[in-house]
This record gives sequence, C-alpha cells and structure tokens, in this order.
Amino acid sequence: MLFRRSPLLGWRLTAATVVSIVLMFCDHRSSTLSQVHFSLDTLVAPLQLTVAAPSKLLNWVEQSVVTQQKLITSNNILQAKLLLLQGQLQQQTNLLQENQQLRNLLHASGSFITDKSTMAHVLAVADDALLDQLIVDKGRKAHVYVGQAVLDANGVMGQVVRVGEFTSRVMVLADTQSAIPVQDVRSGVRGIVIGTGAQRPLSMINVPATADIKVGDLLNTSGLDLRFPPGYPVGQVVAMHRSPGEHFARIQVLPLAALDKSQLVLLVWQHAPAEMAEAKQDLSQVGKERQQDMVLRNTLSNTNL
Amino acid sequence: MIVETRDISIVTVAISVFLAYVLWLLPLPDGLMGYRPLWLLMVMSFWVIQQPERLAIGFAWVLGLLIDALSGGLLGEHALAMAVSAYVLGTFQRRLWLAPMWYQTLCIFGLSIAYLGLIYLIQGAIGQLPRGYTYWIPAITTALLWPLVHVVLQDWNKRFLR
Repeated sequence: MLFRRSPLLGWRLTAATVVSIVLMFCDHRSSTLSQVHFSLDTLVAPLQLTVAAPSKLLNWVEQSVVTQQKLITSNNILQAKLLLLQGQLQQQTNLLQENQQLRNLLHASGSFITDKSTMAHVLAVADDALLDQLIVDKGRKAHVYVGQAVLDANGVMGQVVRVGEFTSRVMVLADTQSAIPVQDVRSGVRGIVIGTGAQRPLSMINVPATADIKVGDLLNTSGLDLRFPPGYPVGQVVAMHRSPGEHFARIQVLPLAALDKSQLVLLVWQHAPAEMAEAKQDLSQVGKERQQDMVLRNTLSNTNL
Repeated sequence: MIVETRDISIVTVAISVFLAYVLWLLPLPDGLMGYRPLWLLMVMSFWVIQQPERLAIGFAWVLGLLIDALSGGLLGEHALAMAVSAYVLGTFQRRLWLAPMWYQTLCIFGLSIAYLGLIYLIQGAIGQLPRGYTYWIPAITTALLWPLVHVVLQDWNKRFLR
C-alpha cells in the first residue's frame, strides 16, 4: 500500500510544483496571465459578493429602521452641505471661465473638462494581509479598466490593478507597490509619492534636499504618468527630514482619502483618449531620441578615448 | 489488509471547503485580522488525512489557486504551499490518522509554520517580505482551532454518510 502510493504522490507533487513555479514566474515577470486572472476573478466574484452580502444587509436594516427625527436631521445637514458646495461651485465656474480666457490670451492649449466618473461600493471582504487592496463591485461590465484612477470624497484612493466581469481590484496608495506622481500646490515642485504599507504614512521620493517643500503643503496629482488625471488631491506633507549627508529629503505624506474606511468610491474615466495616445506617442518619441542621444554620446566619448 | 482510510461524503467536502473560504474572507475588526487562522489548510488537512487516495495534491493545489485568486497575490503561491502541505500529510498519513489529538495538533502547528515559511520565502523572492512577528501568529490560532475543526468535520462526515 505504502509503496504503491508514495511514488504517485511524488510525481503529482513534482507536477504541481512545476506548474506553480511557471505560473508564479509568468505572473511576476509579465502580463501574459491577464486572461487567466480575468477568468479567476470572475469565478471567485460570487464568493466575494456572498461574503459581503451580510454587511450590506445590515446597512439596509439600519437604514430602514432609522427614525424620522434622525432622517430630518441628516437631511438638514445634507442640505446645508449642498448649499455650501453649490456656493463654492458658482465661484469655480467663474474661475474656470477666467482661467480659460487667460489660457486663450497666452495661446495655451488644453482646457478643463470634468472627467466622467461612476460610483462603486467597496465590498466588505477580508484580504491577504500582505497587500493593501480593495475589491469594488464594478467590473468589465461597467467598462472599468486596468489603471483607472479611484477617488473617494477627499482625494485619490488608488488605481484599478485587476478587472473581473463583476468586480475589480483596487491597489490603495498605501500599498508598497503603489506610486503616484504629484505636484506641490504651493511651490509647484514635482515628485513621486510611494506607499510603505498599510496604516503607515506615504513617502515622497526623489525630491532634492533643497526643494521648496514645507510641512503642511498639499500635494495634487500632476498627471505626468498619463494614468491619474491631473489636479486631484493626494495628501499633505506631515514631516520632513533634511540630513546634510543625503541628496534627497525624506518626506512623509498623509493621504487625504480615508484609505481603509471609505465605503463608496469614484471611478474616474480619463477623457479624450486620442489626446492621451498622442501624448504617449510623444513620450515614446522623446525616449527614443534620448536613447539615440545616449548612444551617440557613448560612441563620441569612446572615440575621444 | 488493514483498512487505512475512511469513507468520505463529497457533499461534506464541498460544504466544508465553501465555509472555509467564507470564514477566511469574513471581514474582522482591524485588531483581529492578524489572528485569522489558515482555515483552508485545516480543512484540506482533515480530508487528506481521511482519504489521501482520493483527495490529495490536485485537490490541495486547486484550493490554493483559489486562495491566490481571492487574495490578489502572486498566482501559484498558495497553490504550491498547499500542494507541498498535502504531500507531507499524504506521506505521514498513517501516523497521523489514528494519532492522539495532542500529537495531531502539534503536527498541524508544524505544518502551518512550514506553510507560512514557504509563502515567506516566495514573498522574499519577489521582494515583498512580510514585516514583523505578527506574520506567524496564524500558525498558533490554526493549531488551537484544529481540535474543534477536526471534531466538527468528523461529525458532519458521519452524518452525511448515513
């Protein structure tokens, strides 16, 4: 019995190990498995939706048994908020017009168009503790795409990293693999904000120690990655260390979005894909030119030697 | 010949696996997230010890692949760890099957450490090493919950077979 079973187990383990390692390698090194991911994500979506159902039900019960008095109070608060926001919006339309006029005067291109967005619920589903990701209840059916920017009421939450038919996976700014290009609102200094893990402040990197950045500065998306739309708030500088021996300043950033509390998020669609494609082409052109430049320089320096 | 294995009911296997996924996905308060036991490893271990000829490496591998799909991590990571665990269990099945509970619990603790260790190595290889000792806590909760899971699953199995 023992002798019959053991070799079989060994062979099966070998097969499983080989397949696993090939899968891991492909998954880590390339995006060839995106179709597999799509199928698997679609397959497990019902499970995630089932697990998230009780908390949705609880919410619904809470909403249905709320007293009239409470409803009236919350309605009053909401109306007051709406009035405030509409007042600010009036000002904003004015500012937009003025800005457009100034741009026209300067013959600058580009205009402000509000981005199209849609709302999604965050599914109450526990996840791998090693990753800082969320699952939202909109997928390919709602035309969500990989790389899409995700916001909450206060600022940028992160980006979509994987899409299934009914759900998609959002990488939050705090994830160690997350990076987002930002610009200081006050001084215009640009940098990249990276995540350092759940419930830790974000970190702004590649900023020279002499750069004009102060504690309390607001950072907005710069849009230079052609992924996040420009001008959305990302975070606030909370600490800054300049040490004499280092070229770069160490800057801690607190995200404005409630990364682990938001239940409702906004998925933003970048408008004008033609413009984006053009910009991307331009960028690759610049890259090629730089490469040629480098090659030329190298050859020149070699001949000098 | 000695009968080594016990009959199992596929219904119970399916229900227990489904419940393990649900328990694993169930959101807990922030403080308790680190204590989440390895539900899938426990359920897989129970069935492999009961019936290693029908449910072994393939079964464990598929369960692991679904963990990968649900967790959003590297595809194949948990699948490999589960397959290796199933192999270990399959090899020592004779010793484990009729062993006293304290011995089984100890073995499951060791298996959990090995499982987490394998994931730890893979995470290290891709440059995302988990931080802190809290990473290893699930091994303790898994071992503590093993007697309960064992008794419950054995009871269900008997009921459904009847």
